[in-house]
Amino acid sequence: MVTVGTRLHSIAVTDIATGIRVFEAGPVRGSWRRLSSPDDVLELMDATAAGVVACVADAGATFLAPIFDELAAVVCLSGTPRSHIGIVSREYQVPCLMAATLAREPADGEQVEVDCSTEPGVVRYAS
Amino acid sequence: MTLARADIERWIRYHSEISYALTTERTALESALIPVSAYILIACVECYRRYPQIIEEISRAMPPEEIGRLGHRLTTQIDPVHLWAVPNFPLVGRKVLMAAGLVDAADDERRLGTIFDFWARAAGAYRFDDGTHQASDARGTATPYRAYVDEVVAACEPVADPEHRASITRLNALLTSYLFLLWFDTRSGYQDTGPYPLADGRVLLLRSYNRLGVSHFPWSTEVSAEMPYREVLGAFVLRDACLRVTDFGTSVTDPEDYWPCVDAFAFFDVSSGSLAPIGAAPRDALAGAAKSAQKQLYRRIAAMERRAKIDAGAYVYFTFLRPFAELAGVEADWTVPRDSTDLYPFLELVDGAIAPPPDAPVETPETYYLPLP
Repeated sequence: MVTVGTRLHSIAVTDIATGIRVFEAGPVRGSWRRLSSPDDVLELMDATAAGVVACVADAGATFLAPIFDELAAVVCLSGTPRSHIGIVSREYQVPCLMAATLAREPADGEQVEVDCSTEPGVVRYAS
Repeated sequence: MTLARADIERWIRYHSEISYALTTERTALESALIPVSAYILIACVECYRRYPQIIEEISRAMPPEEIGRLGHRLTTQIDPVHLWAVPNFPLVGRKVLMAAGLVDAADDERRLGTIFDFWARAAGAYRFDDGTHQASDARGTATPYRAYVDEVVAACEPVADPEHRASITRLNALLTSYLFLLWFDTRSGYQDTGPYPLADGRVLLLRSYNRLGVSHFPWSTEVSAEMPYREVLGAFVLRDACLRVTDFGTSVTDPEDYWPCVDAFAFFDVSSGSLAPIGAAPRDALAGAAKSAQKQLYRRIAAMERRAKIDAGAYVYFTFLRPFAELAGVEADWTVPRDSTDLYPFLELVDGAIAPPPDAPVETPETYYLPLP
């Protein structure tokens, strides 16, 4: 195990990230996708966001609004479970990690597993 | 009416401690779609500079206590977050202006005295004059709709199976998410109250979905016309769950995911102010309409210039006082921006949060809002 940054919890060398889970949920798998602008969201809205694990920087609720119900999971790099995006993930029952720390970032399209059965929650490569 | 200096100081400390805790829990609020921090800055400065005068007009038209009691009726939007906002939006604006050296000492005392007096009287009456003013004073309890509980519970239907539960969860999520968007990433479009304890040990959570249809938000005209209801109330009977609500009008539950604890539920059309249960087929239609409206609205907001987004968000925030004015029959000027254009050149400095200046003291629960100068 190696410690990531100044966080109190540790992360296995095979893991991608840890974060505060919004609610307890079993592991889900999906395709990693970093979303940075509304154009990224519109692109998925016009195609499909089914099975996507969305990685976002900010904790606002609105950025993912039109695709939230299709997502496999959300990994947010800031905020807390009571931030807006955390609240919406709870209502959609979409597993979500907040204030996630990335040890490494997968390429868009890589298959990952988001596991909110433990605290902290973990993102790892899907084997 | 205004307040003595000692009372003003007391209310500053009171709000400082509660809002420090609330914002520490929430932390980040930025959105890649909407410049939330920038519009909050503009709106809150407008609130500090303009709310006192509007509040004086409202108080002359209707006693604050009467407005607070009207919050016990459905759809008034005299609710936890709107009440919280009345003092706290101006206080946030005051933080910004103080940091810039733009607060006049004598004027500050007058402004805060007017705001606190109005808020304390309205909030006290809203909470049935039990000596508390916010949910934070009562371990996370806010039960304004207690008179409706029997009728609500009688209309609730049990959750039959996982498919049934999934359809309810989806409707709630779509409405919640749509309202976050319609209200420019504020959580005031939906408001939770409770816990309302039931005789059998379960608790009732009531969720108001506000202004789903066309309203005074200009962007609603285009995207919300097809929503079948203007105002909806959701009722969720929880078993084996601990529930409290914050002064932002948000539920905090143990377990964190309360959906497996929902035993029974109902949705009501409350547009007329009374409870009209919504059946299964109309619920599906409502979910479809929310999904469609959300997509339209997202495209519209994504296409807006940054300045237009800031102005729209600032309008949402500034009009938190509007329900109070409407109940009192006061027609105020809700134009935004009006008294904050001097701040726009500084918005470029806002990057992700309303950051204090480098030499500002570290905020604590006692100094989140500074005392009178």
